[in-house]
Amino acid sequence: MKSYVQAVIKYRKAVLVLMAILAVAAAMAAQHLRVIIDLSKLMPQNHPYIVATNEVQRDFGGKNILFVAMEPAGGDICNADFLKQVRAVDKALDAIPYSESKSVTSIITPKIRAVSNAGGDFSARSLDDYVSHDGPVQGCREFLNAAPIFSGLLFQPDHRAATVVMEFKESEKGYRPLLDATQKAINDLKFDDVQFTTGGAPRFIAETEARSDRVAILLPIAILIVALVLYSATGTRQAVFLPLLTAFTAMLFSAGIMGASGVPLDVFNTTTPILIFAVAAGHAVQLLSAFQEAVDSHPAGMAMTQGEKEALLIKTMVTVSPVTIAACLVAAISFFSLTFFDLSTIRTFGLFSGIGILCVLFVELTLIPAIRVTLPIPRNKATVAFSMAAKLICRIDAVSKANPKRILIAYLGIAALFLMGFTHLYPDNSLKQYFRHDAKVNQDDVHLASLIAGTNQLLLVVEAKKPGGVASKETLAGISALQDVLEADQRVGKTLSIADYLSQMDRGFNGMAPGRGRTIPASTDLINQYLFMYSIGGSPKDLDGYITPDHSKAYIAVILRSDSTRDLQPLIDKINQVSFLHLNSLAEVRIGGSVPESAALNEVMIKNKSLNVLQIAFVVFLVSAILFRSIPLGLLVLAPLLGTTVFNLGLLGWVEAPLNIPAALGSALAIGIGADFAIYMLYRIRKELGRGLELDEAISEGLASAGLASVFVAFAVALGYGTLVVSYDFLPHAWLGGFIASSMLASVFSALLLIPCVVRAYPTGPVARALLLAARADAVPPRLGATHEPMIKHELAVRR
Amino acid sequence: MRRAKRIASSLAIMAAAVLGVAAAQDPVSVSEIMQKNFEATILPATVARYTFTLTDKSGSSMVRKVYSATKLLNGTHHNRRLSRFEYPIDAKGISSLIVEQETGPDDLWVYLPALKKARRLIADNKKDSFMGTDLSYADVIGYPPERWTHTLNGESAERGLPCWSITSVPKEESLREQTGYSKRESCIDEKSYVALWVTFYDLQGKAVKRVDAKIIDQVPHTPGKYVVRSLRAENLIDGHVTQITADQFSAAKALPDDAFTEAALENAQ
Repeated sequence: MKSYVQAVIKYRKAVLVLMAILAVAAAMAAQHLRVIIDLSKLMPQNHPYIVATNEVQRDFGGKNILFVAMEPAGGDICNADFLKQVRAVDKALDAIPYSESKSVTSIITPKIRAVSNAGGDFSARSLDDYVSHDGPVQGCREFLNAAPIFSGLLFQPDHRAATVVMEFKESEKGYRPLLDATQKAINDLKFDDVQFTTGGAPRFIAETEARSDRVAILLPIAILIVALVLYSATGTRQAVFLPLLTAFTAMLFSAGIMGASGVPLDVFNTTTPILIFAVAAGHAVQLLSAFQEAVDSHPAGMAMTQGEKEALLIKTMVTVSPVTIAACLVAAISFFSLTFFDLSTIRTFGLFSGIGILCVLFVELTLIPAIRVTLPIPRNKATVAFSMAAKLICRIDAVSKANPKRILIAYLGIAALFLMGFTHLYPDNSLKQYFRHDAKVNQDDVHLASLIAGTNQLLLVVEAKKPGGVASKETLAGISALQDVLEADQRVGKTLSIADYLSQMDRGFNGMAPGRGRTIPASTDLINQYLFMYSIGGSPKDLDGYITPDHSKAYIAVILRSDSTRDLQPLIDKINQVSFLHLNSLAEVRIGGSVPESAALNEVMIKNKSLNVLQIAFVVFLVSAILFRSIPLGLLVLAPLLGTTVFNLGLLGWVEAPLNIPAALGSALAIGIGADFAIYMLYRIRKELGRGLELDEAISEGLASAGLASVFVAFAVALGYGTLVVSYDFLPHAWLGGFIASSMLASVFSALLLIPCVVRAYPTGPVARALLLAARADAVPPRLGATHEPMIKHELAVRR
Repeated sequence: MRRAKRIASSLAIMAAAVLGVAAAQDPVSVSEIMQKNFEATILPATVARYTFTLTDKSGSSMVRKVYSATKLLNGTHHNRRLSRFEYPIDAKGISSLIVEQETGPDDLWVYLPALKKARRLIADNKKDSFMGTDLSYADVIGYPPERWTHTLNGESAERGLPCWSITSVPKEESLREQTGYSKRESCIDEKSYVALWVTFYDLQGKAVKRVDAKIIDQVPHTPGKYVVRSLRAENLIDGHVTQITADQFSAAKALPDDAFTEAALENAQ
């Protein structure tokens, strides 16, 4: 390390030029970074809900559904001009390259037929038939009345609005181009007398993508906040400039590698650059404060020569860099360990975070000595923030000296209180809850829900146990019973299946009036003949959306009023009960759709992130134990992280906030970056013990140096991440910001309280013994001019 | 051999209107070419058995076999068409009777064996699929040439046969709406006047369907009339393909009118 730092200092100009070139290259590569939500890559492909959703998509279509409601100015959709406008929109959306072939459906689409019995004749007409002829639209209202199965889906029951439903193809470009193309197609028609409202999962995902881009705006704000915190700590511009420069460079490098790799960021990884920035700023502060401390302790002080400065910088870097390397390795290995997960979003997060941390390490050990040796040494000022932080550290030192066991008991008591909050935790994920209720996307969704049955999908695949068995009378009766039960549930807006189509045909052939209740055809032969007739009339694919051509599978579309995954389980229980009662021997029922997809993602994310937390915790323990050559010290590094996790999740439970993906992500982030405080503290205490200080004094020194720097780092990161709350109408940012901020503060105070209290409460215990043993191994002579007076008093004296 | 010849001529009625069959005479104008193409396809009465093979993009196929009888309405170009499915087993006996109309929807009756009764079916079916194939009813019935504007683009060749390349566009907006087509492009065989292929364009101008006459024979004992023995229709949007072959075909001189009634539909079972 000494040779490396010496080389950096010797060739500092070349190093700075090289770093500048690398930074420019990284900045150019970073321009390729894009936030794209590719559900096929994001979703846990082996989850039963995802398997069923993909099966529905393959066999029937019906995934990525967008609803476009059209309300005529006159308030009545049975108007020739308006119906022609619906047809124009239908065709315009069909022409969008992203729309699934023939997926666009509206009341005017020829395959949408109202089946009725007109004076003994079987009528199966499309509304398009009426509008095809010139003159006023006769029979529109009769058509709508004869098509109750489409009421609440393709038209508003009071005939005030019509809906065009379309299915998007999966696109690697994400959802924004899809929605942009849709909006452009609608705008180009210039139907000023029609009010358009779009909704459905694709719109929410596109909005999520768009808002995730705000990180590019929030990042400079975060940098400014960190700068202010650092300036408030030191009162010097250099102490702001250097950490920010190194943090920014490290972040640029990692973003450049991400951009060059071509792997798009998904919405859950967009905050990775902020994570890198926070970690880099923290290490820079620790390195620079160690150097400043060495300068303050040097006999020549600020008046030292360039040669003395270089020698002191090399000495400081050689002393502190092992801690930085250790802390970075702990974090990097923790993050890299996530690449073994099945979920691609976690793999991407682990890979880029790990690479980012290595970039931090490289930049810290290269840029800091190169710049530090070039710039004059500033004199830190006794700022208000420093005084407050110093007082806080002194207070912690004092209480941990006076009542270490009581503090430990109080800490454990508080932890137990938060642990009880776990009983109130509940998993729930809702894309709609990601946005404020007054956000346009939510307002539009509420408006849509007032027009139609809802925009949230639950899809049921019914697969017969016998070939062609779905078209049997008994299976159809089971499907109908399942629909009856679901329709009686207030969470369900509507259901639609092949049973509805066959019921319509049966009513038409038997001279019954159209109605909402389903009638099951009298025999399996008749069902097959109806199906055959349907297949040879209209378009051969008209029923492909509801039954496979071999009649082995049918699909029930269930429109839910809410996309909350919390509401899903009771419905699934009902589905399982009814399926068991009516379909058990006939068919298997599988569950998919946008809401179950969300539930699957939530379930897997929470499970994976929990495993992720455990895995990172284990790696933190393992690497720390190896670094300190002590299991107790490994556990002591881990303890504040566990305390932080308990605090965060307990708080979530007590405030009854949902355990969703952002919360799970925040937990993993917090545990990944919170280990540094304990590692710096323990290294510093060990170093002071090695210098010959008593255990008690070494702890005080550790608190005054590494502890004090940790407080500033924690506040800087907490406030920096806190800027995410600026994204007030996109709640995942606000949640994540709040979560990380509270995690950093909980993490630093846990480290600053637990380490001194454990050592002081049990001075002959395993932790203290391990520290003394390690200190003996790397004992160094006392520093020059060391006064052995408490560090903070010394630091305050120097600043004054 | 006689049977083979009958088979060879069997698709004339159904496909001729799409592909066009006419006596080989020197054309005077493009309108005359298309008029001959339209008129030459029409036979007074036919009896046939067809096999439809429907194949989707993934390659999975469905086979349907149909008995069909047609008879022209007196003094018109419009047919009465009785069809009865013989395969698959599930559909055996399902029958339909269509009486083509000059304007507006055709009259259509359907008989379902499981119900043991025929029902009149009201639907504006010109754009609908013809018996589940990739052809529409309008494709099968044919497009009266006087309602289209035809442009002769020049001469070309298909499978070594010289043909006229002709573009036809609807004269009226209502016809565009009724047919769903903005344009047809045809390659009319200069000898037989059969369209060797036709490409259909939707209202946005996108090619949506192509119909190819694979095998063309002259109708036995009916000079100047041709029949398409094998026809392939492809949906250019979703890749679905219909292959129609005539297993039996005869051009009957006359069939009784009462063979084309609702009662006949029910009694024929």
